[in-house]
Amino acid sequence: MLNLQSTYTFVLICLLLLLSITYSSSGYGQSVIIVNTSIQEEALPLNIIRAIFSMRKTHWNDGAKIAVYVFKSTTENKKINTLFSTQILKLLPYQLKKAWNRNVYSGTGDSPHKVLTIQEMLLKVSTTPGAIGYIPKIRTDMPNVKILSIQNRVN
Amino acid sequence: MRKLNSIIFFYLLPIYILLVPHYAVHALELSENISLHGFLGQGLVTTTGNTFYGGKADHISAEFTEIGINTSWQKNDSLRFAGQVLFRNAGDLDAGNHFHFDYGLADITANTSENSNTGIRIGRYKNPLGFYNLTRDVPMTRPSIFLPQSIYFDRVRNAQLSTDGIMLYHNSFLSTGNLQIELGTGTSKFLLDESVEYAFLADNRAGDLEPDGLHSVGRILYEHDGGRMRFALSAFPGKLRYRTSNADPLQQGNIDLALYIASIEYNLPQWHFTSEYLTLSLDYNDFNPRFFSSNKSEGYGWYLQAIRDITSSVSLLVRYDTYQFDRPDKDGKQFSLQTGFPQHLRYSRDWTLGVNWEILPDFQVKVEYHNIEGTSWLSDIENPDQYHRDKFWDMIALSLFWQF
Repeated sequence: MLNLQSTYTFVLICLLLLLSITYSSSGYGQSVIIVNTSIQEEALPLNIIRAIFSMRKTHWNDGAKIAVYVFKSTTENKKINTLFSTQILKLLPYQLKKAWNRNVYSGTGDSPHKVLTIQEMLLKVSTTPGAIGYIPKIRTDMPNVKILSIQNRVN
Repeated sequence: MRKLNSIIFFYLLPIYILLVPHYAVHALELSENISLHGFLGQGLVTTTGNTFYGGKADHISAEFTEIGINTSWQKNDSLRFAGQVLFRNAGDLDAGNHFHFDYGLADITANTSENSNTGIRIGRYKNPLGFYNLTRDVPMTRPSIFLPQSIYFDRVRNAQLSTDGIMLYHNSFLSTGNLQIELGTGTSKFLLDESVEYAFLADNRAGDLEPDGLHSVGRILYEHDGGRMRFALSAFPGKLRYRTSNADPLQQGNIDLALYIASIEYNLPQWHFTSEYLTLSLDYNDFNPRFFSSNKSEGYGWYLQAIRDITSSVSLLVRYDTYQFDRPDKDGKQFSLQTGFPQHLRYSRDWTLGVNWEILPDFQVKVEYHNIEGTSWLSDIENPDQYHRDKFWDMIALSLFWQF
């Protein structure tokens, strides 16, 4: 008779060993995070930016609600989204969708607003107070949005 | 109902998929502040012996339909309302109740800072138990067609499901990851159905099984490095009371129950490992006749699951899942000697192999095979003859689901 508890302990130990392997991804891309000009912050640490895009952090420091915009995952947009999550957020692409689904179908939170094109992204972020989004590369014509940079961790 | 299922499955779903190009399927945003989402899932189930979700030997059941629609309304910066209604057909497991008010809550943000937020939810909220209970009826959030039954018992689903009450939540955004704490209290009075009564009192009794006072529910969840590793501890202690009626020789009594789950998940680019461990203790008190009062059990179960992404749209799952009803009597030997019932009513060991294919970003199909020894998580409503259940049995299921 197999001792199930010992099996479980063994399996847990194996899992813990696996934890020591780290996953790393390549350097920064050219995607940039853009925010509405109502936002006071100039830069935020990566963990905060991840918490915003996974819809866990819901408010700016002044108490205003954060409005998150992402690209609808169409064939044309898939690459933009993948680059943004792997290079800027350093997350695997499916992680955000999983987090949003958990929010939406349990009532504990929301999923981001979806846009179809870069023009629509710029329009929404520039006209919605509290808005945050991203574009695949810096453009010169970006009236009424500002770039939010990622702060290096101090610790 | 079977007819309605067939109509949805064979006609409406394919027509919908053909007619609506996927890029046009958009979560409906009624305005910037109101959103509407939904899902539709249809499964087919068959087994080599025992009955599960209507599936049995030589019979393919389509009595496995899940349809949900939810909305969320951000009224102002700190007040949000959310609600979901659910149509769910699950063979005889759901005791004939198909329409459910799944959750409906007001979410009030009490305090926010750069590194944290705190708030309360009031109303009906889903119990945060383990990784999956919050969205257990939503097919695309499950790793497999059926959740591991060692932790997410479908036969007493309603006893675990949700709470009418109040919940406090707190999120901390640490430099290494997010820490979330949820603590709630309330009642689940409207949820205890026949299936729960069968599971805890061995029959659909004339009296009523109801909560005795308020229960608590809580979870601590830490998501390291954006969710690459996830750890959770969940607790759900409570008390049930049986209020007897004249027609039932069983006099009233109460049951103390306590459920704890430890959960761990590790994600690599192409591998996802998940494991959860549960203990469930049941303690029967003050019942007359005495038979029930001597009942006390220390159930425990766990599973280990590995998912491998083969391509960006196809993944394979393998899982071992086991449950023992009573720790000192793992194989049910004592139970069998005392009662004459088969030992296998007291445990289950389930090997699962599954495939998930994401045909379109919001449309998926899953197929899975289960090889099972034991019958502990089968429903007594679907399998009333406990002497003639199959100790060894297999199950095959297919499920199609779509979300917007």
